Amino acid sequence: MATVRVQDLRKAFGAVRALQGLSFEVADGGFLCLLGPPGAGKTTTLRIIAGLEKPDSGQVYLDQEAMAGVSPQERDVAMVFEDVALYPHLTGYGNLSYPLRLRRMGRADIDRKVEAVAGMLHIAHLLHRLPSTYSGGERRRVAIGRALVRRPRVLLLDQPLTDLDAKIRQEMAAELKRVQHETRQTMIYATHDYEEAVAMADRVLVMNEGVLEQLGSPEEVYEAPQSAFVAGIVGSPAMNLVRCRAAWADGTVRVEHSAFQLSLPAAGSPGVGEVLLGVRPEHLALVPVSEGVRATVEVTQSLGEESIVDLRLSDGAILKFVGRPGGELRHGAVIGVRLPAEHLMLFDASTGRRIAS
Amino acid sequence: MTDAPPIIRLRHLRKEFDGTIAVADLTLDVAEGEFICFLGPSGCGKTTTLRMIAGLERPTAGEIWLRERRIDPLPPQQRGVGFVFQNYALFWHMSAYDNLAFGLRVRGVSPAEVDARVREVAESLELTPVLRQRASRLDLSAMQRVALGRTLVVQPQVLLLDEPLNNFRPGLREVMRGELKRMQLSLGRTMVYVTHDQEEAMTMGDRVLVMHEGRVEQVATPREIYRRPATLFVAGFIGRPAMNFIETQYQVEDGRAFLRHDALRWEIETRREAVERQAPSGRVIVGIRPEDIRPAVLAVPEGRRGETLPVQVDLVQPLARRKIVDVKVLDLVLKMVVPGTFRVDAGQTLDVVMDRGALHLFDPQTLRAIG
Repeated sequence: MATVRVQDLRKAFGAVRALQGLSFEVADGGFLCLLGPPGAGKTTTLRIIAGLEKPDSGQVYLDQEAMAGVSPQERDVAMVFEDVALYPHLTGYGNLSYPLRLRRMGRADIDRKVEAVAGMLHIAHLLHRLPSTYSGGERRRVAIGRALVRRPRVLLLDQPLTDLDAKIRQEMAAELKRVQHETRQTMIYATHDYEEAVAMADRVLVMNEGVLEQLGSPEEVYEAPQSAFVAGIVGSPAMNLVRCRAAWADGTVRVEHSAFQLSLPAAGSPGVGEVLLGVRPEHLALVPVSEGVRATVEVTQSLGEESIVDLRLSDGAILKFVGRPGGELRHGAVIGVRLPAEHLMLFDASTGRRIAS
Repeated sequence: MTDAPPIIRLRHLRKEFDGTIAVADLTLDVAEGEFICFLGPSGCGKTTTLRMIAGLERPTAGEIWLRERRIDPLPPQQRGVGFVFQNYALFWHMSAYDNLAFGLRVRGVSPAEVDARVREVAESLELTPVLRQRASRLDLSAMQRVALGRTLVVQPQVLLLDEPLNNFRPGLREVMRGELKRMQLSLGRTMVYVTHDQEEAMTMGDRVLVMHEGRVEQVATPREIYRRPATLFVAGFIGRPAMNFIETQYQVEDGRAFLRHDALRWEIETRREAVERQAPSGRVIVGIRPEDIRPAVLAVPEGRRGETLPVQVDLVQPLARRKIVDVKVLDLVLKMVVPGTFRVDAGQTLDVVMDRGALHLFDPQTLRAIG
């Protein structure tokens, strides 16, 4: 296994700039998730690491060795794609053992490795069946097993769980995390689903339009997003972002919106500007009208014990609340919302970057 | 629920295909203006039921009533119900406008009225700007709205929807759920909505009907289904991560009633009578939701605390505002959900408390809830 270092990668496809100077490192045995919307450059990054795509500039290093000019085969990197392709004429065993037979490994060694991987991924019962009899989840398991069995230096996974049921996706995410912990296989996993990313990886790299937005632990990207983009992509329902006017003076910032005003401690130098006020739905508090910002209940969606409530402010902006509302909230009811100062974040409305407080 | 007479009444509906029973014996009232979701895994009979209401499938037995009219002998177009298909079934080469107008034109409605009704529906579904675009060029959300609008325009009394959000990627699907729910609220139309996605059913439905192998497992509000699942199937199907199940044996020690699994035990004094009556074998399956197993250091509601239990942390998955933690105790692997801010690592031991008031008990023979 290997460390991976990606240095200032740039790649354009015609007028589309897929990567605009991306750098990051993954430690030996690390598990990194690339998280971003379609078009963020995740797949391009994986394909460049695998050697399937040449960067316009920048470099990929495996164990400090520059990969320019090294063929995909010589890199010893395995990749699992979104549209999993198994050999349809081979059984599960045939598929899993294929990469080992290519390497002319002895029969006894092959059996031992296939058995170990099959046990880990719970696919022993599939070894003697053909892929045509597999469910979607089973196909994914076998494909991941086939990539894992030869213990590549790096395992790259490009949205392998995307089209599975939410329930199966969650189960497989837990399993993949367990497998990675057991094997310490270096993995880079691309997804647009934040739940998948934070549920699996040690570190999450949030990217957008070919640029790194933030790299941190799952907790960091959630608790301390460095940009409005990160705040919006990590968490469900997403963080509320309300456009406000801000005026800084003497260690405080006054945030003004047509429906409310508030003061927060702030480090910035005196001045005024447009900001996005960020507050997570779970940090809002529902209170009597007299004690908070006046809001009208729009839609309530039950999540079992908790509910998501859409609250409309006087200017038409919607704030989402999630939690236990404590009582029935009827469509059209008028209530108060409290914005707790300790959980509010400010982002520059033009750059999207977090403003230190 | 209102006291108004139900708009749809299903009476002992049954459907067999070549001897296999798709729907066993389904009786249901749907209230005017209600949003009811049929939920279950594929093959449970939910789509078959919907298709019987629509007239696309003929019941083997039973009756279907719409208000005061029995409709099961009628052809689909005379029933006053609208059906929105999973794959939209739009006319791809036609404009959004012509798709919306189609149902009215084939009914021989005058051009002036067709235009008025198409524009009204388009306005309410925010389709006015794309009316002249070809269906094949619309984005997914607009296609969805055209499919819905095409059904709405003929003014059905009931809208039937078959997994309409299946083709949406995650993220957009959540947005569309909110949009559909909002549309339903503003249109005030009765909707019967089929889905296999529990989150969709629970967030959108006023009531949810859970089906399994052709039978109704439970019909209730989402909150009720979540808090008081009537069967083991519902308990395991609803909720992510799924409820933990533990096989236990009923025992009386020193006059106190317990459910025991190896060295673990739960006192169940208040439910003793129900257990003795409904599970005479003494075998009981205890179900506990992941969020009802809590770290002992966090506050547990007074009077609901069970015994403190040391467990081994096996896996931690941070999911933004919550973490899913797999823990091991004896031969059990249990999932618990803790706040995202709670710090815990794989390998450590953790004292947990199971919320005594949150235990669900099931009879392993009948698979039904006890008490």
